[in-house]
Amino acid sequence: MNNRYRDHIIINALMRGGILPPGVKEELFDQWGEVGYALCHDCLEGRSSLCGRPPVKKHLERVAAFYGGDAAEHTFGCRTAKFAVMRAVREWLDANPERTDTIVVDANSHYSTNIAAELNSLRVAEAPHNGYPTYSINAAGYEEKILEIKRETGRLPALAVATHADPYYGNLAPVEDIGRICRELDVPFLVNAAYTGGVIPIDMRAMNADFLSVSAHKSMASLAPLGYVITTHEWSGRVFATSAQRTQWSGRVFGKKIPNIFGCSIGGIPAISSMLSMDHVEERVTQWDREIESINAFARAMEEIPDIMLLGQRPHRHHLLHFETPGLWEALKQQGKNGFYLSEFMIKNGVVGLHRGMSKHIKFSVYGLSQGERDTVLNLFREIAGAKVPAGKE
Amino acid sequence: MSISDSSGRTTCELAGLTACERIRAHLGMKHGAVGVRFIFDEQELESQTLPARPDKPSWYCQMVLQAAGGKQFTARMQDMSCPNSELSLGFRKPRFVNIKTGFDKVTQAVVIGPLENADVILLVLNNRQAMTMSILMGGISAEFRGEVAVCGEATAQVYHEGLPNLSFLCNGARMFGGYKDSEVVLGLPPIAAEKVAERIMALQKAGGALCGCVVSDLPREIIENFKTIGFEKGSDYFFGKLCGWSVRIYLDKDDTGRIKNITLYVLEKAPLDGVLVKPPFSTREREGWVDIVATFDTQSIGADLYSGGDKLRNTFTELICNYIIRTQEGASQK
Repeated sequence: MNNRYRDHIIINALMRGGILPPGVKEELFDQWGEVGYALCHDCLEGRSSLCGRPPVKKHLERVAAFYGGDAAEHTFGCRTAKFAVMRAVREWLDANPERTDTIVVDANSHYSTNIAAELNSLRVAEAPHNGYPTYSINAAGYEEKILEIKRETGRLPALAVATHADPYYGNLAPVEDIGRICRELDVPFLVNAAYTGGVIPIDMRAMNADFLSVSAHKSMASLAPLGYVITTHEWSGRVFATSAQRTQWSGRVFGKKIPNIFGCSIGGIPAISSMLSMDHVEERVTQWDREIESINAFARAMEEIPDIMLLGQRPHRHHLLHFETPGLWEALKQQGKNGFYLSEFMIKNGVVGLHRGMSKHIKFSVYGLSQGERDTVLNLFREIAGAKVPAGKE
Repeated sequence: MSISDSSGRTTCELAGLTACERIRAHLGMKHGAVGVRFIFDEQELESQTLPARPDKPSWYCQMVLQAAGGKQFTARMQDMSCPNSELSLGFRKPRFVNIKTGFDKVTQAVVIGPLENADVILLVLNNRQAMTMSILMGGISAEFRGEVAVCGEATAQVYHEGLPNLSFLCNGARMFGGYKDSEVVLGLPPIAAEKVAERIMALQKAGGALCGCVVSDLPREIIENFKTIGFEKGSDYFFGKLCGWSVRIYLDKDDTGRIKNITLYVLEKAPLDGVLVKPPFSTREREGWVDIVATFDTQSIGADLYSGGDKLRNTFTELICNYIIRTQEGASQK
């Protein structure tokens, strides 16, 4: 069983922020790679997040501080982090009948946000985006939706959720403004930072966020599956409430387990990879301004290919790039090729990550690639579009 | 009883292939709809081009199922293996049993399969599809006894009463006809099929995302119509070229989900003064690009999205080519 793409340049936007930094892979597999429960040899408390050796507990404190929160737990992924928040909100809601079971979510949300809501029997109202070609989320849309729900039901929504960088266009939502509105209207606020936490500097206090969900394997240079849920002192007791159950016959209790994260979370390689990558992540977010500038330069070069246009915000503020590419589609059609040819052509030339079958629109990322690698990607697009390399850019 | 339009033809032609295909697509039916037409006049048998008779005598319900798979038959009494079908379809009068057939004339043949000019339309459905049909029709009567089913309950009864009826089939149909345990047969007068098809169309127009931003939600006809005028389906709009401009067409819906407006976007990589537009088009600059945008009420510009064709293309061409002018040479990315 071989990995066909082992030596390829990866441009899948899901993956670019999750690639392990140099040296971590070797240390990870050399030191920890033999056993699934690698964290658990010295576990005294029965929950991986409480482990002192390796220092998971300290790592979680570091993660919470890194994002401007007070408490963090690691989870099976960002979706589980959102589930934990919504589960806590659901329980809070049951004790607060003055709230409705509707939550406000942006129209660019990742599906797992909506699934987490569905799992917790929360209804979703959408704050709209502004449509083609930017698809931006406006903070005023949240205010309108919250007030509309209040008018219709006489009650406030249970939660507002904003996708910090959306997975479709790579737009940054105005989370600071949304958070301020939520604070003023007294609506708890969750920021889904799956695509940003670990890539872009984040301070959830500045966002007025009560909760932050993060994907370590998307954006914190870690192996999957791993995410974090970060919250404030005010909410940590609810989100991280421990089990209160005592079994009837055997009398057992599970007092250290946190039901909202399914008791005890990841106890192996993914969590360790994140611990090993943390220095790198803390350092790389400080370079974000320079990185996004070069990503925008790449996008501009892509737009020099005829009939290719970047969708979403301009200048772009995230590394996920979604191009509208009727020019590529037309070029392929003229060559008698279908949409699958594009991804296959790229793979054949050492670049993997385009969605198979797509050629009218393409979505990818060059985050963290060297200039040489970016040039390779760009020139392949030029080649398939039949476009010339502009003078001086050979 | 057969239902006729003003020209005297049975309305199956109005319900026709399109209506039945629409129902099939909406329900996701494995089988096609089957038309059944009664022929009472011997001369009619000779004067018309009709499907061939079956190779050997067969069960009527079996022929219906074969027709649901695409075959067609003109079946006479000699072609019937089941005596119940002979009686219920009016091929002969009962002599030894007390069955009321309702036919004044003796049936000479039944044409099984073609939907054109059919008197009854039969749908072979599973439970879920029957449920969906019931929702679409505001309820369905199911008068059945478990005997004389496809021929009697679903065909003859519907023919006589002009009302839909759902049959849970009979032993003959299940043992010899080839129907699965999960299958039922719905008999419809053609006019009822037409109404169901209209209801489906209305639902399709109203259904889907309110933002109008999911092209897959749109009725297939609209997508096909855009294709015929050279516009391809993107994920949330149609794109193509008119007069050298790269054009996007976005269909906006109102609060009830109906397509209300058409927004035309022309995207030009140029400075703001690189293009000149006339109202109702307006421009906005977007970091090296000019977005040229106008929104129109579909009716006000006479855009019939369901008919499409040259008229639709001409409507868009006129708007784009006459209202937008390129002022700066080299600005275009034609």
